[in-house]
Amino acid sequence: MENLSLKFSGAILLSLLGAFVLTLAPVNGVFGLWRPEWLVLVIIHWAIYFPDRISYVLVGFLGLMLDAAWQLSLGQHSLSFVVLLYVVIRLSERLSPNSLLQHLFMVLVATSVYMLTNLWVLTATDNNPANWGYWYPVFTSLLIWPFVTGLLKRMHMENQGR
Amino acid sequence: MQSSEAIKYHTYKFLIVVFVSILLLIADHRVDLTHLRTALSIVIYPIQYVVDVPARVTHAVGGYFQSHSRLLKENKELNRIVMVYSAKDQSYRSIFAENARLRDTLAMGVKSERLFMISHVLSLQAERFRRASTLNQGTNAGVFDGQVALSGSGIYGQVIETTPQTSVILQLADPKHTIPVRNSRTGATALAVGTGDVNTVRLTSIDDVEHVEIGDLYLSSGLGQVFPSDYPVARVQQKRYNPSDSMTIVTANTVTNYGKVREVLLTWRSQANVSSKTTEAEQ
Repeated sequence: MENLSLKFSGAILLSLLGAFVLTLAPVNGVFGLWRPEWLVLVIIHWAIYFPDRISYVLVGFLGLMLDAAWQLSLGQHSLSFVVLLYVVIRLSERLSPNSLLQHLFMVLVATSVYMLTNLWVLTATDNNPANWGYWYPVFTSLLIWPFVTGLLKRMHMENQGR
Repeated sequence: MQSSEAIKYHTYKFLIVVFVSILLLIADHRVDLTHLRTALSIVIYPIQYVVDVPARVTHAVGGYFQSHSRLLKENKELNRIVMVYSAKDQSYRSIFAENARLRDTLAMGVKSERLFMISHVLSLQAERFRRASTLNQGTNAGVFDGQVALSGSGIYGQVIETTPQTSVILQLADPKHTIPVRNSRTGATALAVGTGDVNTVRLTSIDDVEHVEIGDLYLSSGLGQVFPSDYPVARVQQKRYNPSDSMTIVTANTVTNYGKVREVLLTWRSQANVSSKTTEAEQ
């Protein structure tokens, strides 16, 4: 994506912050189970279009903050976010940048890897969520992906005259 | 397409951060990382504050636009309730003093009085892993680890983490939470273990499980000395025989509706000796 640049410099941080707020926002009852993985979607988007601008240290720190907010073992979400970022950066090199179907497939794979990493840590630390509700966010994240990526695309522009 | 050298460098970076994360996970289990947790909580406090703004704004705006007549009516009703309760409170005072005197003569030791402090719920973590609530008061206001929180209807949970400005309460429905309870009808004891599902606990170690009926109210038993006794905890909702391990599974709904409660009462035992206070009052 050599010909892309950001409209303003803090766009990535701003979108990550927004996703963090949506992730922590209080939701009533059962809807909390269906909450899409906002942070995962935003990380996937930036990893596809600006792999050089989003760093492992940044998403690792983000995961650490999420662990502190959710009272989980420190390092759980740092690990899963970092694995997610690696999977997406490696996979997206092989995909065509404008095929929605290929991207959807990658979101499915990447979100599942992210959830599996979390599940592994949760089980190892004796926090195993023993119900299918754990996997609901994979589906809602997939459904909402086109809207998230469409919105975030408004934050880049194509460089002319290259 | 990146060169193989760049991919190698990229993978090294990835492996280093993965290694650090795993080290952190191990460290979190072996040593006390409370300071790091507290520091991170302070960093995310503004975010949690922002997250709660919509709920607080609707609350405030709703209050502002309430009609005058409705406010008057509400005021009247509240005044009536205050009158009733203050009348009840007077008889409670005399009964309490009498009780303290009787317990004194029987050398039973006086039940300590409980004090209350109101606190607002900043955010709820109704996630797959945790059922916890963040409050807007912390150690600066005197909140301590293990402190019990009550809602208007019953027991809410207990404090598991404190920072200077906030504290986190583990709800009764959290999978890691257990509270000793007692059937209000039969007096049989049990343990109410959280399930992780909304407002739901499972009753285990039940005394005479065959006598449990749907609709039975379980109160806190006060065993274990963490929770005060005789506060409502949960109402039995379902009783099901599990053929695979010959156990009866009893699920109950918590009396507290965690989606609706905005204020909780933090409670603690008063340190002052109540019996000497009452005798002073009598003299």
